[in-house]
Formats: sequence, structure tokens, C-alpha cells
Amino acid sequence: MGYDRIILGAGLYGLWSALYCGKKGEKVLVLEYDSAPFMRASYINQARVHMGYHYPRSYSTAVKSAKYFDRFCRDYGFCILEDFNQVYATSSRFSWTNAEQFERFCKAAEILCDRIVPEKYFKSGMCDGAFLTQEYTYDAQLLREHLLTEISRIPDIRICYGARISDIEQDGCCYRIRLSDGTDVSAPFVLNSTYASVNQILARLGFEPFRIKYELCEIILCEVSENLKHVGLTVMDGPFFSIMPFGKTGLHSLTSVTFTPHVTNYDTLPKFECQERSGGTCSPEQLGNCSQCAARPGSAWDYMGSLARKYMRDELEFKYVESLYSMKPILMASEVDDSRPTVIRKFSEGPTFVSVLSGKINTVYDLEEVLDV
Amino acid sequence: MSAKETGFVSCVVYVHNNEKELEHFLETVYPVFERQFSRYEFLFVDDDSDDKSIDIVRDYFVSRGGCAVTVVSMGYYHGMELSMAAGTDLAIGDFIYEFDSVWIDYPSGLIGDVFRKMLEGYDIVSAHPSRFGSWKSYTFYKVFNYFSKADYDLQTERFRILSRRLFNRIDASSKSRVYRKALYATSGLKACAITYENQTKDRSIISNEQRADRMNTAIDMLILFTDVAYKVSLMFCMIMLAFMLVAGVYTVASYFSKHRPVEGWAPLMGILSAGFAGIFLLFAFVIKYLEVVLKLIFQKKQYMVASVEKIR
Repeated sequence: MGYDRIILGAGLYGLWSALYCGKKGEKVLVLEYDSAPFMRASYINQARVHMGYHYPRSYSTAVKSAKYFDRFCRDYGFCILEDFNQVYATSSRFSWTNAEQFERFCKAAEILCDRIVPEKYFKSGMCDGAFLTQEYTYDAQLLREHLLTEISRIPDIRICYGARISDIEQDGCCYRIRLSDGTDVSAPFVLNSTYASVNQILARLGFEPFRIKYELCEIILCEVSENLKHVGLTVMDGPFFSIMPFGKTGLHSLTSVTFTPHVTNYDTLPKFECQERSGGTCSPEQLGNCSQCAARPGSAWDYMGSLARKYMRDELEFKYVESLYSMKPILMASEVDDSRPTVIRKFSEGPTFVSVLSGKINTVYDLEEVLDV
Repeated sequence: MSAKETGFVSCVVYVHNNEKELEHFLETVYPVFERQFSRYEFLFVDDDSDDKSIDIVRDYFVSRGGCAVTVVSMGYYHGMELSMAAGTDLAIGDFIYEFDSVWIDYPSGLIGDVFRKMLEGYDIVSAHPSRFGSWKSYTFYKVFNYFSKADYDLQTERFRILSRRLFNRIDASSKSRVYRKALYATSGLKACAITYENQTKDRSIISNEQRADRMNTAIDMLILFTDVAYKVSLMFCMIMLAFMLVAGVYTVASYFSKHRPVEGWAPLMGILSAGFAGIFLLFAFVIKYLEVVLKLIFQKKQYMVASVEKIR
């Protein structure tokens, strides 16, 4: 069957693109490996709507985040939790950024940053600066429902779950994709928005892979005490942690720079020791869903909890609820300056093959440019 | 050991060219932690070693699952105080072991004894060898304890365990964790030591650099945490004052006596030069004192870490 666009991956980037193209009257097919949308990174992340605070060493990333922040909040306000105090703090020790540098950076990027007393949330002496900032969290499930409802109104968008691609090839001015159930589809435009699987798809076509490393990450969901309910804390830029509301779920997500990544792999295709124990559901050629995997690592709650407790005042309590795991690809170029750019790369034209890789939800608008062609 | 302890325990180890001792250290200490604690981490602070020390650590932990192991590599040689401060700053445990040296002359059971002692209500518990090092450290501790205002006596310690409460207190009151032992002693929290019989002295090789570093630390500690410098300079001041008084009396007497000494200039010049010498000596003390105070208060970044690598 022929389509105008084929989109690989039903995460935020995939569904957003499908909707964007569908609204223009194009015939769109979304191929999703899992049995439902938003099963991996779109759901399993800190759920930050980035304003740029996270990148005190990368001014350009910060400015771009801030630019899209307002637009995202306008478009998807219903899934965004705003009424909580998002606090960024700089650790007294081991931080790459100190309080003054952070303040200067925020001023330069023109983002809100009000100094507060660190002792309000942190143990005395642990942080040399704390700042009230403007940053929100989105609820992945609400966002998913919204996108699905919108998509269901457009008959020309089809989503195929549990899709197993057995073959992709160029066929004249189209890409032809064969699925394992025998379905044969083609389109002159393919968007690869598979995030962690981006190189696996590229490898099938012989395109040059992205230079990324893979991290198997754990996010812990916590129940928190009343005094922490409307507070998000991030001790940034160093071996620290973050505990903040997880969308509108009422839970908080707990992550740490050191302990959230369990295993790291620097190969072009993700190769992990646990894949052998996955019962054939995961391989360097096809990633499974880490959260549902039998071979997923044990929780690092002991470490993350202790780290957070070391910094936070004792009366701010939090309790383990569950762990979510996902594979996170990180562009290698971003280590030094801490940037998290959104990379959109066009591999071929006529037929067109585009790959997108981004760790932030609100830069999804970057895709407009390439989808408008 | 029946049940494992549930508190989170960090073990911070100072490493500086210890390739000869490290393997034995790891083989002794790691099994104790594995047996005794359910949640723990190891932090090795590599103070610019130029031997295979860290490779040994890496190799040892490659095949062992379970806990987090981190190597903190100092950017250049920092000495033990700053390096250990970096290590304990990074530690996340409720209880923190500090191994200043990887030399082992104690039974491995002592590591657990120290922990149990802590649970009795101490914030600092150290392992103290009955026979210890050089006459230099002996003299240092004698002088230090005599002059210090600390609650308990400092002594040679092989390793110690400290509570998170202690670190919270120190972090809240002091800019740095340098001169740890004196800080711990003046924290006001309860401390105790377990003395063990050691057969041998610490035979790990100490470089000239380390020796100079220790000497410097000792002098700084004496000046910062005791009033010895103050007392000595005060005493010196008094002697000078007395001398000047005597000289003054003599000058007045000789002025009014009938037999003025022929060489009238000489005593006067003598008095002047002696007086100035004394003033300069006093200045020397003041300058040293100020230098240390400045270092402690104004030097913001106390150490430069090259990298923090979690090796598992």
C-alpha cells in the first residue's frame, strides 16, 4: 500500500509528526514495535518541559529550549503541571557550575531565576545556591491520549502496533517496507523517530549511523510527603540528583546523574550483556522494552535514595513506589559542553529519509521545517 | 554474622602509589563489607598515582557484582587531607569509613567492631594501633594534645568510621574538611577509639612528597587548632619586653653615671638590633598565622578533581 509518509516509532515525535502531516491532508502510516504508543522514552523520562536551566554550559541549547517552552505550554497546557516550585540548586562541592555562574547564565538566557535560601530545602552547607525557576512537567499519559484522540479524527492516519519490520529498501522514488506479517507498504518519505533504535534502522539501510552512546536508565517513582508535593528539586551539573513531580500522576520522579544510568555502551549498535538473558526479546539489532524485560537490572534505589537524602532536609520525605527503565541514546558530541541538541538529519532525498534524535519534548517543533518540504 | 546491617555505608580509601599493598587490602576489606552490609559503596581517591594502583582496583571489581565502585582521580598530587575531603564529599552513605592508608596490620574483624561500637552512640570511632609510627608523629600528637582545645586526644589512626551527622555538622560550620582529624575532634560529637595490638609498623613506602605534605599538615594543624603559636609568640614578646626594659634601665643608668662608657654607641646599637630582630620574628609568626587563616577562609575551591569515574 502506498502512503505519503511512513513514520517509524509512536513516541511523542512520531505521533506529533503523524498528526502534523495528517492535518495537511497527507496519508500517514505509523509503525510501532510495541503494542501501544508512548511505551518507552516519551513516557519514561523526567517529564521535564525544558526551559534551558539544565544546560548551564550550553547557551545555545538553553536559548532554544526557552524559545519552544511557551509554545509547548500553549499547545499542550492540559497535560502540563505548573503549580509547583521548581528549585535548581548548585552543590557546594563537585559542581561544574557555581551559584554565581548559574545566575549569570540565567540572566544571559533571559530565564527566570530567583535566589532563595538553600537551607529551605537542603541541609546546611550542602548547596551554595538555590533558585526558584520556571519549569514545568508534562504528563505523558494525558499527552498520549490527546494525540490519539486527535489522530482518530483524521481517517488518513493509520497506526500499526506490534509492527515487525523485516525489510526496508529503496524502490525507485519510494521506500518499501515489508513487515513480517507479509504487509508491504511504501512512501516517498520516511521519518525515523525511533530514538534509541535510530541506528538500528539506519544500519538496515546502510546509512551512516549517529555517533551515540547508549545508557540503560532507571527512573524511580516516589510517593512524597505533603511538604514536597508541590516542590521539584534539582541539584545540577555534577554527580547529583533530581526529584520532581512526574506529570500529573501525583508521584515524583527520582533520578541521579551517577546512578540512573545502569550500563553504558559505546558501540554503534546497542550491545548489552543483559540481552542474552532477555529471552530473545532484545538484541543489538532490535531493542526490546527495558521496562518490561525479564533481564532488567535491579533498582538503584539504595544509591539514589541515599544521595538525595544526603542533600535534602530530613523532613522532606519520599518513598519508593516503582522503577521504570528505558534505553537512552546520547550524542557523543554533547559531553563537554553539556548540550542536548536535537539532531535532524536527512539521509536521502527523492525518496526522502529523515532521522530525528532528541532528548527533549519541546523541541519537537524543529520537525516542522523538514516535514514541510 | 547473622543479619546484615541495613544502613548505607560508604568506604573511602586513599590511594597513592600503593600497588604493592592494594591487593591484600581489597581481599581483606571487600569480603567484610560483602558479609556485613547490605548497602554500601566504595570510593577510591587516587591521588595522582603513577603506578598500577587503579588498574588493580579495576581488575579486582570487574568480576565482583553488587556494589557501586567509584574512582576519584585527583588532577595532580593534593596530599591526603584534600584528597580524602574530595572522597568524603562524594560519599553518600549514612556511615563513612575513612581508610587513610591501605596498609593492614589489624584483624579484618576490627572493621566490623568499629561499626558496632558506633551503633552504641558514637559519631567517630577510630582504630588505633598500640605500637605506632615514627618519633615525629609521636611528638606531634604529644604537642598537639597538650595545647589543643579538642574534646579528646588525637592519636595515630589506621582507619575510622564517621556518621553522616558529623559531616552535616562540619559542612554547616566549616568551609572545608581539611585537617579532618582536628575538625572531627572539635565537632563536639562523641568519639572513641579501639586500640588493637599491631605486630608491625606501617611499612608502605612514603615518598618525599608525602613526607613534606604530612609535615606541612602537622604544622598547619598545630597553628590552626592549638594555641601553641599564640603562646610562643606571646612568650617571645614578653622576653623582648623584659630585655628592652633592662636595656632601657642600663641606658638611663649609664647616661647619668659619672663614668660614661667610651664606646657609648655599641650598647645602643646592640639594643636596637636585638629589638628589631625580635619584632621580625614576631612578624614571622603573624604572617604564617594569617596565611593559614586566609587559606582556610578564602580559598574557595579546595581541590581540583580531574575525573570521577564510576567503574561499576
